[in-house]
Amino acid sequence: MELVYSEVSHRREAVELSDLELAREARAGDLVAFETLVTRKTPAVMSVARRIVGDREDARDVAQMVFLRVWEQLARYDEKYSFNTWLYRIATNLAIDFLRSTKSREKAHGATLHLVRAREEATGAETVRAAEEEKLTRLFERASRRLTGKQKAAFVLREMEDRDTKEIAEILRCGESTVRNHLFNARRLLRREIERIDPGFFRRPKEKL
Amino acid sequence: MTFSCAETRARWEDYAAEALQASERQAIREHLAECGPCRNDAASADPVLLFSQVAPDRVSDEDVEQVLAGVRAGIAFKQTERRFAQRPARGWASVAVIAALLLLLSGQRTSRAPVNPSAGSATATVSSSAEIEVPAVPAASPVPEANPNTSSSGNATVYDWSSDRSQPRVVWIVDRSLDI
Repeated sequence: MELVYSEVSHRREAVELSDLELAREARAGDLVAFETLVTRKTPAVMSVARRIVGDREDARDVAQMVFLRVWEQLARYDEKYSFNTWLYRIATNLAIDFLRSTKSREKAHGATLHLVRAREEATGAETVRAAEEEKLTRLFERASRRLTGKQKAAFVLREMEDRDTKEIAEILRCGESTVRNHLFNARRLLRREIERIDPGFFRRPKEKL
Repeated sequence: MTFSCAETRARWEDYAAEALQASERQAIREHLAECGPCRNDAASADPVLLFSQVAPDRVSDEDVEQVLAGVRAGIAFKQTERRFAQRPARGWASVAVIAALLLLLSGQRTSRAPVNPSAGSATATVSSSAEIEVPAVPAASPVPEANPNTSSSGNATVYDWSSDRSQPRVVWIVDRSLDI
């Protein structure tokens, strides 16, 4: 009972710590601090991963890999970067790797499963706005398949996560001009793909959206 | 900063070209979130603008629990893997020390009278870093080399190839607690 009580109170204390403080505790071997960090950061990591890999279950797998990598590499975490930047760097790298392996798998087995899954998930939308967002999400998932991993990660971080280009450059470990380049190319390719996938989207009747 | 519909629509291109100040960019995103007619206009002008309106993915508590469970299992696995990766070196070092000690002991024993196997309870404790208890090797009657005398205790098995008392004794000890 003593142990349980002490763990519960330790968990309460951990919840009040900042990301950086938790990372430091975790680096010193505190598993409770690390699990608090995992619980706190999973939504953000899964959200970015989902946009990049395009599937919720895959995003969950990526999130697990991300936190295992964080656990292994905490000793090497350089505090000159914010913890979030470091975490997003690991998340985008692993999501891009995952995307590459998925792409090669899909090339071999065909891409039908992905589309079936997307249709199944799309039925759950409750409100008109939610349905609109779902539709945009699906459109992005389809249209972004031609983007490279870096282009996709840069676009997701900029447009969907609303990060500034300087931070994206730190996350992707490249210059800001490269990020702008990725963004320019991503937008160009997305327009082209939307025109191909859904030609009516550019000329849609006003009441639909 | 806030923009009217006209001000927002006049900035679509600058938004896409990353040519706006952070505050202007934020004002457009906020306006777009609130204004249906402007979203319609954006859909016609440049649908890519609308991707800024995709909300963060909804992550349930169940998702978080599953990720946490997977991470816990992964850490446990990696810790076990690391422990095993460290063991062989220690294990073989211990076996080598034990083997050397036993060789020494048995070498001394060859100059004494042979030990009577029926004495039974005789057990030699070999000090080593692993503190392995090893039973005394039965004084072997000559056995074929390919078929050693074997004796076991809770921790170790001793294989004894000694067939000739005049020769140095050769034994091989396998410590099962170090067996992977």
